[in-house]
Amino acid sequence: MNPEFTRNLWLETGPFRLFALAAAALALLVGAYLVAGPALIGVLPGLNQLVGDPTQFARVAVAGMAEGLLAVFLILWGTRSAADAVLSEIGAGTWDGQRLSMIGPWAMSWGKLLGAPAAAWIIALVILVPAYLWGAGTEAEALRRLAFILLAAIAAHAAAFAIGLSFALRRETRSRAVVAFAHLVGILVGFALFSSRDGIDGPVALGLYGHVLPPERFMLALAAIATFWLLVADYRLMRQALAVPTAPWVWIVFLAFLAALTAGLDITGLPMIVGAVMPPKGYLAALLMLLAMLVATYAAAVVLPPDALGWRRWASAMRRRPLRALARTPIFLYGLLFAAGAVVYGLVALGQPDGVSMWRLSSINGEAFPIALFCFAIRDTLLLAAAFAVPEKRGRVIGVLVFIGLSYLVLPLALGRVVPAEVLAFLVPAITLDTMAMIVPPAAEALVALILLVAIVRRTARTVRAGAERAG
Amino acid sequence: MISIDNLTFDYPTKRALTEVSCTIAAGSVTALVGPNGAGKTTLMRCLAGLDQPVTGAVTVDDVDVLAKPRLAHRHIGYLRDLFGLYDELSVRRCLAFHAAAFGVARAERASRIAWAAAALGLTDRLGEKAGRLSRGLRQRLAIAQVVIHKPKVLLLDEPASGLDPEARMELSRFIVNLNGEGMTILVSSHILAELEDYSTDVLIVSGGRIVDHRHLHDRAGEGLSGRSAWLALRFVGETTAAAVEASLRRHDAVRDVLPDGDLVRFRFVGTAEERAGLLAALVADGIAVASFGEARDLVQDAYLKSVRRAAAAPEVRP
Repeated sequence: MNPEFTRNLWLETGPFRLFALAAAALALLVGAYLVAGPALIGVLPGLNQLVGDPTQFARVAVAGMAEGLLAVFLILWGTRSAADAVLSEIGAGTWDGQRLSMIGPWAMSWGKLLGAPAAAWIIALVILVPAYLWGAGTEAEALRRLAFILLAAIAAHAAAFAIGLSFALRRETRSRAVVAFAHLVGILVGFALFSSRDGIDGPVALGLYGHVLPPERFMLALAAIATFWLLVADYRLMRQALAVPTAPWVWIVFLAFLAALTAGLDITGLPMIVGAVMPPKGYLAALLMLLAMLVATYAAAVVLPPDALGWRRWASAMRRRPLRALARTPIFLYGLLFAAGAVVYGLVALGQPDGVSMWRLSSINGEAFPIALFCFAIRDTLLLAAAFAVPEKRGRVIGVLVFIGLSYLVLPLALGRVVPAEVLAFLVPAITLDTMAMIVPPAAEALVALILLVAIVRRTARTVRAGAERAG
Repeated sequence: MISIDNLTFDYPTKRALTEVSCTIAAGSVTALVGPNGAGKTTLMRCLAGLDQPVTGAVTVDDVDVLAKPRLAHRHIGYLRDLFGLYDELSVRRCLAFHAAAFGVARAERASRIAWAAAALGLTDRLGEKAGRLSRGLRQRLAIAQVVIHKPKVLLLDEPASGLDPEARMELSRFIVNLNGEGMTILVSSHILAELEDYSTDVLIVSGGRIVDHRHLHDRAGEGLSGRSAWLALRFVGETTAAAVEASLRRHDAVRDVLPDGDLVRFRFVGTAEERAGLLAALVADGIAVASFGEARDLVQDAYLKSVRRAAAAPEVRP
């Protein structure tokens, strides 16, 4: 048995606690049965004509309540435990002891992921039975809904755990705010997957490399894939936390997978897109790929940013052994590299003769748009890197995030009608401008961000050298 | 047992260790001393594989700690200064968890828990929750946890911090006993007198560099056993250090004579009666003895000299 899982079971699953929680859950389910079932029909004469079989009605109500309770126990409560799994160890001063043990990164990951929310899982397993047995629809539908709930819970826990671990890697001290943030991210991920269980409303045809997929199955597969990669992320972060040498190759595989997935995805059957004036399919796929790469790149820049020392190590390795330095390259740079690939792919696709003439005639500058978007991403990630490279970084990182928010959302809305498009091009891709006017502003900003990052890293290096010379 | 080669460690804005190299012999108890901020804790964390240096290598029992940290941990026990315990678990479960986490075979765990509890005086506390133990007992439990897999190397960072005098004496006894079990021990402390009791070597760190690394005793605990101990003799009047040394060297029980001004330190192997006989012989030789007793300042003396020397001549390197 995994010792970390066992330890969590010892701590989390006291008999009184389990009994109290199970009793509360069962009381809610019985309450749902009594209220929604024959008792309710007895109170409201005539209701039985409306609902048909009252027992069946009560069962469906219980199943609905059970599903809601599952979401509460697993996604709200369990995610909190997963978010705090490592941070609480740091706060208690036991984390170094765990890092020193012989428990491997995979065993440590699943021992904590499954162990920290163990009480939530045990109660959830009790509630699963009525949710599955009495759920509306066919057995296959009930199974699919349960699979969604379980995947959503695992994904929520994995996301919260990853965020908590990333703070631990950055040696951020434990605080309620950090745990709350990790918890919130987990909940958002969990409910995003949970809410996708009903598929997409309306006539939908989603294609993947020419194969049209039923939306329910497609969403379930997508949820499973997302959960899988979140678990992989937990494992990789845990490797780093346990000081096991970790190269970014799995990250590159993930980016390649994401690129392949988005390149083959045909979303033109989505209700919100049908009927719109669309660019060529290849270009649209490239834009999707670019967006996916940028989301991954921003996440990497926030979750695993190098500090000034990391940049110095990388620069030193690049000078001495460039090939080996690839293993130390900050992972968001690989994201930018893949994003650059998506831009090139988009430009090539735009030159293909399958474009829609209406779109070509529009005033949108399709050539410059992905390049400008890419330049803004370079600017943002380098600014984030610069903020993380400053030793007293917390305030500066928040400052950069606020700046990014202002740049893309608030300022364009506030200034859109006041300033010319050439000025707005410094804030967002101004899609109607000519190529140079659209690309030069974000490219210049990216250059400034690069200069800022280099200056910060050099300044800290000088400080370290001066201190070492004074000491010795 | 421990080999440190050219270790340099940087924090983002501060160099904590600069080109540190040394070898720590198997079976030794090495006192790691130095001023606050000298790099003691950083050095220990690098040895344990908890922090990654900028350059350099650390091997413990021929295992590269930086390349294979999980394998190296089989041989390492490390107790940090501000340690934590699982307060809601019983002492037995705390030990059981650590036994499993450090790869002790399932069949051996019960006996290993019994051994660790006995070695640290916790046998009658196995059923108590860790959170209800006193400071001294918590310290014992923390040490029991890190030695339960019988590591070859034990790293103790300020283990006596916050302990009362009685608990400190017990800690000294535990360290001597664990060394007797074959563990190589590196222990940092600000309480230099306490390190005298059990240290065989001293490693002095200042400004992120090793400024001295010297051998003190052959075996930890000899001073406590009464068989062998470092003694110090202070003389006055016309007596010279050379005369004292000559007189001492006539006795087979005297080893390693170290004159230092009006003080001569030497290692004595013998009983209390033989020690009394030595004093009588010295007086008979005309040595004007001002004081005679166990040397309690070997680590302190080495420390003060090394740190002052380092301050006077910053270019000095180990």
